Amino acid sequence: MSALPATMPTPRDEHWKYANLRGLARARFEPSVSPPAETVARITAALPKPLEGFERIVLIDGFVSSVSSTPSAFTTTSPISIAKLNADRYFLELNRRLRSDTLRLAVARHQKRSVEVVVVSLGTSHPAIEIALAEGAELSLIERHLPLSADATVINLVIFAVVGVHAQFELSRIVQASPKAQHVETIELRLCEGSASKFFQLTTGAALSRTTAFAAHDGRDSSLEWHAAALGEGTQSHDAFVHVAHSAPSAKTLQQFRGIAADRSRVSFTGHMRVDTNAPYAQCDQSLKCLLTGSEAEADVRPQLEILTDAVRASHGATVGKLDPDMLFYLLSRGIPEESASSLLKWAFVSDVLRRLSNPAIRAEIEYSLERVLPGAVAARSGT
Amino acid sequence: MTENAQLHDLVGRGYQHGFVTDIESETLPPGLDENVVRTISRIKREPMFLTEWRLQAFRHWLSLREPTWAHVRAEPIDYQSISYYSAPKVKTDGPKSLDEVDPRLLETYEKLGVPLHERARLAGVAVDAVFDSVSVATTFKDRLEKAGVIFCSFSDAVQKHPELLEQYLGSVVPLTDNFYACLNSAVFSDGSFVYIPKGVRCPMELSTYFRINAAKTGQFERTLIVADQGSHVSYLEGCTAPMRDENQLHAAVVELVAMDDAEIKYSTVQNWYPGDENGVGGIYNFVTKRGECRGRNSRISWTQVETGSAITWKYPGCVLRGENSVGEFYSVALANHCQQADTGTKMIHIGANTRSTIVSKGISAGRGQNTYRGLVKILSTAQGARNFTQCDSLLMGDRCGAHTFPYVEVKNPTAIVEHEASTSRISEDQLFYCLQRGISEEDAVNMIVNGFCKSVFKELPMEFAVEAQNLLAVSLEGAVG
Repeated sequence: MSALPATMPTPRDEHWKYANLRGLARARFEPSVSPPAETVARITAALPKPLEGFERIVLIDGFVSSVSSTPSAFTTTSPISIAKLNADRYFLELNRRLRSDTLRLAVARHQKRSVEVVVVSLGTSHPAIEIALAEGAELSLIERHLPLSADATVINLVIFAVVGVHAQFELSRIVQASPKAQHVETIELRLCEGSASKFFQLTTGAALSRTTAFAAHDGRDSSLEWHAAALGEGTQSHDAFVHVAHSAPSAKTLQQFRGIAADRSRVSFTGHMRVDTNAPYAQCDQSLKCLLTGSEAEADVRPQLEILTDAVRASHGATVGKLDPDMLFYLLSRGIPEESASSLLKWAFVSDVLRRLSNPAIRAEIEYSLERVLPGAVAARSGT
Repeated sequence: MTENAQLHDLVGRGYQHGFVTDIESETLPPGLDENVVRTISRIKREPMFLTEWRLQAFRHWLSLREPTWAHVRAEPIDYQSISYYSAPKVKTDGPKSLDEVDPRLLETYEKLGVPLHERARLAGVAVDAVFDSVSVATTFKDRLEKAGVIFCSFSDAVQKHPELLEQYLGSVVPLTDNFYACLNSAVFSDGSFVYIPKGVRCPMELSTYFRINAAKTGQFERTLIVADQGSHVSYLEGCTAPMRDENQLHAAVVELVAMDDAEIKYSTVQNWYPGDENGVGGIYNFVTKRGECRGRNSRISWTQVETGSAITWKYPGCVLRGENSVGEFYSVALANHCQQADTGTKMIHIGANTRSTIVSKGISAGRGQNTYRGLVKILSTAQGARNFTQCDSLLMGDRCGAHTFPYVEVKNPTAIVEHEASTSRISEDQLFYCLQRGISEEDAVNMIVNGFCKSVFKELPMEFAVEAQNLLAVSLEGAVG
């Protein structure tokens, strides 16, 4: 492997204070080779049914699999030009050097598309997804990570997106990795005038996961909703750093995070919003909440605001606590088993994020995913 | 609103305490090495353990680098160009009473409104006045001694109570704690020492007034307050400096120790010279303040009003070690013109059922940059710990900044931590509401700003609350009415 352009982050780096860097330092980033045809066939057979109304693209170990994907008219091989916002360049540069393939999605003016990207990791991969929405375009993108391998997989994913003038972008990510997986991702979003973007993420599984995201309101009146949830169990570590820069007037950002740390896991989230002097009339809201359910679990949250103009309305709230004993007692007194009652309350906790989903297909997919982590919650909800 | 003349007047008042006292001083030449450290220790006639402690700190300081993580921009400090000791010349070893104190010094404190004469009993506050590097006077000593309270300058404590110093000095802020605390440990000149014995409620408020007078000097005072079992003390701290074009360094360390059922209330009105409108001059206020609730049911409360200094770097914190102990932090920080403030608190919960409250109000005006930086850390042993944090920022002008960097770290699943914050300018609606009821614009602004800070002002002792409100140029009457 060639030498890297930057040094690996350390715990002294504020952006990486809570990430499991020892785990990352041990990870092997040498990329896997292209999977053989029989492996592709086996994976294709194991994939869930495609979502109705969505085109499907499958990435296996960072390679776009034409066999498993539905033909897409709007993938492009032209590089999408994106300015670099990201100050944490280590894993981004690693991806650039070692990526095997780049999935490029371009939605033309006033076109509307729905796409499902399935990411499968069997070894070590550096998948790259570049997205460009032209003026007035609409894209609903579901990105699902499937834990089809029990091995200690390593994934270093990069997503770039430019959301054009008055375009609408909805990105729903279900990061469900295998228990030994190490998952690092870097996301960059550029938001043009009048655009509206919604971001959802549910992270479960993975020995360690780290999301580094940078979003910039480049155009006036753009809006961004960032809803994320992470469920940690065992000794998992889930960490996210999300920086949102307001560089144009009248932009809005709503950021929500819900984390549940069980057993000995660690869940952390840093939301950093910056409003520049040339971005008056900004509106920023952050709500970061964590639930600790494990005796040795840890939660760390940092809702950060950096405001450089007075014409702004910004607020943030953060809480860390336990399951409300009164609520638990209420459910138990109605004959709901303790595990189901506990799962139901956790479900309610993360539903602050989930209810923002507008697409029923995506919602069903996420609820299905959650049911495996919170057993009994669906049954308790429906009263069966 | 930002163009409002009254508002500009409100935040643009001149510095009231910028005069210089022409007094003969003994000052060490600029520079810092082991000899300087030994010289300071020799001048103070310190026992061997303290000299060694200073030297250990100095050697460690040489291995440290200045911290750069704060949200401030500062000209680099040349530590070799600072004089580390300056004291008004006295005929004898030290003044035995106020009659022996240079009248010009007393005049200085009269100008500042500090009641040094014991005849000013109405003030009801015992004062230790520190001028440049040394304590010049401490009032009400007799009355305090009757109650068993030790309140004296740090130099006196070194001579009279070395065993207490050896026991507690550096036990809350170790000499290796951080760059500025380490520097202070090496070169601290004077400060205040307070010991409240078991079961004693200090009969009056204690106060220390710090004054930097000499040019090209730094001030490195050290305060140590020990409240023994079941005792109570309220301590006030004030500070001013002359107007100079140079930046002067103030790197103090304050250590508080509260034993079982003890309570310490520490209030600060910080009014160091902030520099002029263009950011020339002003004090670099890099201070380490920490209290440790060692005993069960102990309580430490920090209240601060920060209006001065070119740069403030200060995070008064509480280490809540004792079961059921309580830490509180109430702060108003104003950053006007080119002032920069990076301030907040640290609440470290170690004991079971420990509780902490943080209320921080930041006001930014002109080109001021105000940052709240706070850490709430719940360790795995802190069963049932509880924290509530509220930090609000008010912006006046489109060139200022308000920043919030809270850190919430929880390792115990029975803990509950809540943090909330808001940032906004003075509401046009609130202003309009007041104006249309016949309230003048100035009173309306005063009322809104006062309401914004009220939850902090109410924690201050009355004398300081008045001073604080004057400093913010806010009239209470409007709010009360």
